[in-house]
Amino acid sequence: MRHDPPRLFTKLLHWFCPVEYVEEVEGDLHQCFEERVISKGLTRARLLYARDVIHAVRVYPTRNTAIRQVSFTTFVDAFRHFLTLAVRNMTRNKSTTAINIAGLAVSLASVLLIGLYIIDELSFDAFHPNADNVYRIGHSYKRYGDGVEETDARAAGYWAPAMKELLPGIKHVTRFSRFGYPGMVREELSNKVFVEPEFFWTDSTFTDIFYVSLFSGGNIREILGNPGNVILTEDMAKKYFGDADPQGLQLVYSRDGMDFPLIVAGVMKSFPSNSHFHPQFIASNQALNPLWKRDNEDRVNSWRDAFTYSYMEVEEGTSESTLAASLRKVFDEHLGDNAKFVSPSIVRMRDIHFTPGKVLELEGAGEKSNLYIFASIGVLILVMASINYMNLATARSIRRSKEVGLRKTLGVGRGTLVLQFFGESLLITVIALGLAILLCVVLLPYFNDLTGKNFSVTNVLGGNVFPWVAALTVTVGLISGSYPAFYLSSFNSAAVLKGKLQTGVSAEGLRQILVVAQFSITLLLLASTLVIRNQMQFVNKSKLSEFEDQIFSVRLTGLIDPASIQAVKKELLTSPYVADVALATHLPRQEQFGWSDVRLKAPLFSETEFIWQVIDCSHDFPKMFDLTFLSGRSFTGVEATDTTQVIINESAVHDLQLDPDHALGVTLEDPFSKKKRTIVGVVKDFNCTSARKKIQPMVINCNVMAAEHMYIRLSGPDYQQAIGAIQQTWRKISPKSPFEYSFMNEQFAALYRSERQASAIVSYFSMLAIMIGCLGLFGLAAFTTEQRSKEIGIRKVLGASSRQIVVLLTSKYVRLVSLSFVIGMPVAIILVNQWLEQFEYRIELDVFFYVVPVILIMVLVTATVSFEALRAAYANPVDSIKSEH
Amino acid sequence: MKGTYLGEFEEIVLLAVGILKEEAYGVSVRQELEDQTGRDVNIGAVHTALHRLEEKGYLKSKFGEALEVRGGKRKRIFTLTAAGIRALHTSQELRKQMWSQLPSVILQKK
Repeated sequence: MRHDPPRLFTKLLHWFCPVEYVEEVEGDLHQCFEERVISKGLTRARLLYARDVIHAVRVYPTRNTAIRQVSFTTFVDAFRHFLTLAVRNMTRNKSTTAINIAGLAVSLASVLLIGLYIIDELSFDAFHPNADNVYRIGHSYKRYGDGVEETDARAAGYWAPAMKELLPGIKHVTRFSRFGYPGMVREELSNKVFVEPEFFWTDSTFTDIFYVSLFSGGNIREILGNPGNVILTEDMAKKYFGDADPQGLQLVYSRDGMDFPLIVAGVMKSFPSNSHFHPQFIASNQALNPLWKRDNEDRVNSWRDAFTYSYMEVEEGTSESTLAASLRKVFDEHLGDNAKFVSPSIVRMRDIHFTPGKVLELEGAGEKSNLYIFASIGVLILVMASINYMNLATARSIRRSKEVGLRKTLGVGRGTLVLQFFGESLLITVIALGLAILLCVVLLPYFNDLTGKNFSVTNVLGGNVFPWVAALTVTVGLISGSYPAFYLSSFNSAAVLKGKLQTGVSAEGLRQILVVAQFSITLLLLASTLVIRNQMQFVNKSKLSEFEDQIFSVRLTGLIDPASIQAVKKELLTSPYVADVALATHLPRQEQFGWSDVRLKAPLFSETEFIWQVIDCSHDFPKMFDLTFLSGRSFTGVEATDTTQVIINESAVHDLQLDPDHALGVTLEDPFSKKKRTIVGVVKDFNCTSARKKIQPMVINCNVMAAEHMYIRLSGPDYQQAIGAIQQTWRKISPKSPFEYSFMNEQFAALYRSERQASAIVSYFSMLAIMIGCLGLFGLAAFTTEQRSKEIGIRKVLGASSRQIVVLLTSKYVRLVSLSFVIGMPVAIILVNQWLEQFEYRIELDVFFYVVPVILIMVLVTATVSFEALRAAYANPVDSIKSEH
Repeated sequence: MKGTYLGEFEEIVLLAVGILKEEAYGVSVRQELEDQTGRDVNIGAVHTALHRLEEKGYLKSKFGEALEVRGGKRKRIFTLTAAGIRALHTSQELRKQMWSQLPSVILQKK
């Protein structure tokens, strides 16, 4: 039987073996193979043949006798040559290379993270199918009394279904509400009770518009078709049922003394961070019919009772304005007289996140201006790192000019040189990109913490950001390489080799411009950081009580009766852990938690109807929060009289056009109930909501029944133990009601979440930018100092002191940085003032803000540069003068 | 220069070519070397040595017959050149010369 040697290896042999040898070699190998087939068997013969071929790879091509495939090998050689050169250049200037790579890596990592954040913010609600064609219907109205136009995010129950019936081109509609927000949910077997704000009551058509993914499988429409079902998130399943399979288990939702038992019919994935709402529970709105249809009204299918969030998906290509016009028409036809006061307001779902100012919006809106700020910081950081590269490369050109001259003499074309320099800068950027990715992965958890997002490594590497960053890397490589590439390759080789060309000098001007640009940017960032941080501190300081971090609040629900509340309060006041207890409405004031204003008249005094904020509280509230009385007194603690008296704040006195002393004794009347109360005290304005808002006129009622929270001030720092003890007291007196607490400082901090995030992001990235700038300056200073080492040596020999030399070397940079102050400061002032305008209460920009960054940068720059200057000044002049190099 | 120097392996390859007279080609040289030295010899090493020796001018080559067993490929038959023979002589002379200078005491040690 005939056997052939493995064909693959024969092919391999042909591929590398020089043509003039291939025949005999192949023949010899074949012969060996045939002999081995007989002596050692086919398998071994084949293996040995393969071994022989691979051995032959090592042997051939033998030296210059081999005829090479010209184009390929030249390319490989050129490439290898280029790599060698690049690596040699990089290792020869280790510090420069390190500065370049570190700077670029840090800046690319920053850009990667910022990009991740921005893309996430811009992709809000994009995960729903057809998200682009979904609109939410709300309504706007003129506020009763002062006639201020307001827009409510919600719609009346019947609007959406009616639109679908009456208007062509509406494909789907669905509604949900957080009726009874925040509701209470309990699990009866283990007696767990929690207040659940994210409980959504939806139509069974929920998934016609929204994307929900069930872990448990099953059809959501069918599940929601049964009013006895509830779908919850994984987290909630864990919270109520631990590790048990929740499917088929029961939860009870309670509201207004009514219980709604629900069976868990599905577990869903939590909504992603870039969604404008995050339901933890979804149940059919039919389940609440007993609540909605009591007293002979049908709140679900009402034309007027606006409390559902209503969404509709329209045909592709329907414009927002035509949609608004058709809605307006339907309103005019069906709302009767009400149409005069109420207009429909629609917003595209994708725009909800960036549309602020809606009454009862589901979640706080995002700040688009922050995105611009972040993006600019990212770009600036990248620019700084590129400037470092260009500066150091041109400064180094003196060394490379000889190389360039020699290579040109040997016939290297200018194009090749340009390619080489571009290649080197690309190589550095690619290495930096690798490091940047590593850095990102390491920093991701902290970044998530900072931004409240939920990015994973896959977001960094896959998805939408990475291609951009890769493209960016190439661009940065090309831009930062462009100047050295064209500048260095333009040298006249003869002049360079004769030593006539003063290279590095002609680029001096450009370097100076770049340094000035860099430090203008640094100044801008530093000044902004300073202002943003101070404003945030200011905002944090304007708090309700200086003991905010010791005060925590427990929500009072329908499950605890007034007698028990009083009992708990009484017992807590005797506890050693507790300094003070008071009851009041929710604080900070937030509209989502219920109406916070009240209409009042001062009948004997004026005809105007005032709309004031209201706090309903126990008599000891002013004392506990240490409100400052401008006149009059606080409540007395005698219920019969306290309930006929009120305290107002300074702004309210202004509204009455009185002064604090004359306001005492004025009677205020509720225009509906006709209940009268007398003003007994005036307090100084105090902050009980976001500092973005102006402090409103406010009336403080002694009305324990309307209080929503119990506020407890702890006496000592041992929170864990104190809360444990308080919880025990609570459980003893009211075992069935939930005990859920939160610290007041956290509640207030939550109001400024987006500002705090912005402030933290700006600070960190500005710090990075400053660092990169200094790094570059350090490299530049080190280089120029080295260049001038001979000059310094001679100066020293001739009697210059170290101080003179340091001044000589530093003064140039100090001058440049001073120039950048002149350029950067006006820009900084304009931008910072613009940012501050969004706050009602803001810091004054005094001299401090202009001087501190200037001093700080000056100190940094002087320190950076003089580090090298000192080294040069203290060096022995003999070392630098004695040798040519 | 390296051209005048004969390595140990090159020397025995050269000798094998001489022994095999008109029948010296890759496989037969390898066979001869294995028989004479008792070592496993790599065919690639043989090829390299043969070609290098040809480059140095100690061997010359021509194509021989094509056999079925060689997959229809021709052999390259190597023969010694005058320079090759001279090189062998030189190398032998060198050894003889050095052997004669070796003190007999050292040889007895073993």
